[in-house]
Amino acid sequence: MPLLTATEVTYTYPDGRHALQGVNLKIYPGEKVGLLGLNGAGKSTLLLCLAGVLWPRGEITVQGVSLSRQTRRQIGPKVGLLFQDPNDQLFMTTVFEDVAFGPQNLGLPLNQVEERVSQALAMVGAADFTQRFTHHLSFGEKKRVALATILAMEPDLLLLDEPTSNLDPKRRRELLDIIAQRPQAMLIATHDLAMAQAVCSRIIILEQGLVVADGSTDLLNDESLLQKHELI
Amino acid sequence: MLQPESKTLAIVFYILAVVLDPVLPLWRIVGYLLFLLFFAVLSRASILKIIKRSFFLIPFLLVILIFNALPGGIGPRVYLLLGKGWLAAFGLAALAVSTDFVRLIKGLQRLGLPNVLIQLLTFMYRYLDLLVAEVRRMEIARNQRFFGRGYLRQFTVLGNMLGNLFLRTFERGERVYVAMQLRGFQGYLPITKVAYSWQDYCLVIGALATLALLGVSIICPY
Repeated sequence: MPLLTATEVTYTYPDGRHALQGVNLKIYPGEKVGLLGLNGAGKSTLLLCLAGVLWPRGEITVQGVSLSRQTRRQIGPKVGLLFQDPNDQLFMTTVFEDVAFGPQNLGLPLNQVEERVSQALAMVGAADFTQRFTHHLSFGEKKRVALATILAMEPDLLLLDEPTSNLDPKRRRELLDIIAQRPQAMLIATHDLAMAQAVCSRIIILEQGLVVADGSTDLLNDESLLQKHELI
Repeated sequence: MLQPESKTLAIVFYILAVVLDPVLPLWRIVGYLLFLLFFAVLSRASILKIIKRSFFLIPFLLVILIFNALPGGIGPRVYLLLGKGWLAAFGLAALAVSTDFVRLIKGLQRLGLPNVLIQLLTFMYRYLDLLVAEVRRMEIARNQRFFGRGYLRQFTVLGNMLGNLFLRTFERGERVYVAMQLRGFQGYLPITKVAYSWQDYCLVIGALATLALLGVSIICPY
């Protein structure tokens, strides 16, 4: 059974821009999917729709449950969205509080919250960050902690919006290793073809709000296809 | 270690006592200073720092002095104002020196300050330097292409920048709110429970005792 199914997902912004024009896709458990496309192709909009932030036409189901305003609270913890700008994601004052925010809202007792926080921080190599202020972290550290805030919710699907953008090569490699090690299914919106090659098992190309290619990472070796969609 | 809420409570009681004191005789001033010393020792705050911090009051005191001392000279009223002002400033300075802002907010939250206010303070502290950085970047971008020609034009540019800043802040606010919702935000920031030590109780009881002592000495002066 697919983990996530999107059927004819269409979204138009209030200013009339047609961001998504009937997207169909399925993601299976454990699958890492690279979402490629130019700026404005609708990648971020698609992620926001799948996370239940924007409400498109069409149907989105997660583990067989249709995503709606009634089911969002139930589905929410299963889908984690990583924003492009980690400053949007880290809103509490200390790293501990920020990573604990989600588990606390799930209503877990304190010892479980602490356990989840330390596990999530250990996963991203930030185990000793707990008492640091979020606004004093470097950009790369913020990115990793932002990922930890989502991992602490123990989601089944991660939606990552350009996770490697603005990172130096070393931090990029570290983040790639972290992402590759996670067993969860992922949909990764990116311009970083090398990352898609290294981490993903499947590639989806989005153009003007439509899926124009969907297949294995072999697509990345098809130069004429990439040129046609202006990805190189 | 002392919890921020007991420090806040103690300082509120202390300031209440100082403000309510009708004559401020020397022995009571000594009493107040002794309480502050007790506070500083318990919270391990440096007394020198507290004194330095209390200098923030000087400009305000000068204004009070000008308006009160000019008509009638330095009389008991001015002495009372200056004394109360400085003692209260010492109290606030002691709280500020011994408690950082984040812990102070946490303490206020546990004291039951309205949720909206707590969230405002938390997010203001978290995003203030981002806002400042954004203003700086805009300023640099402007200075690269704008060289101050035309007096009126400067205001147009400034107006545009402020408008832009507002929109950016607004949109960031929306994104942050989305991030919060995705992690199950239901309108309340989580409260972390803490344990209180004997020092906490001592401090609050000490402050209440100071207040009570004042009350007793007013009711039966001899």
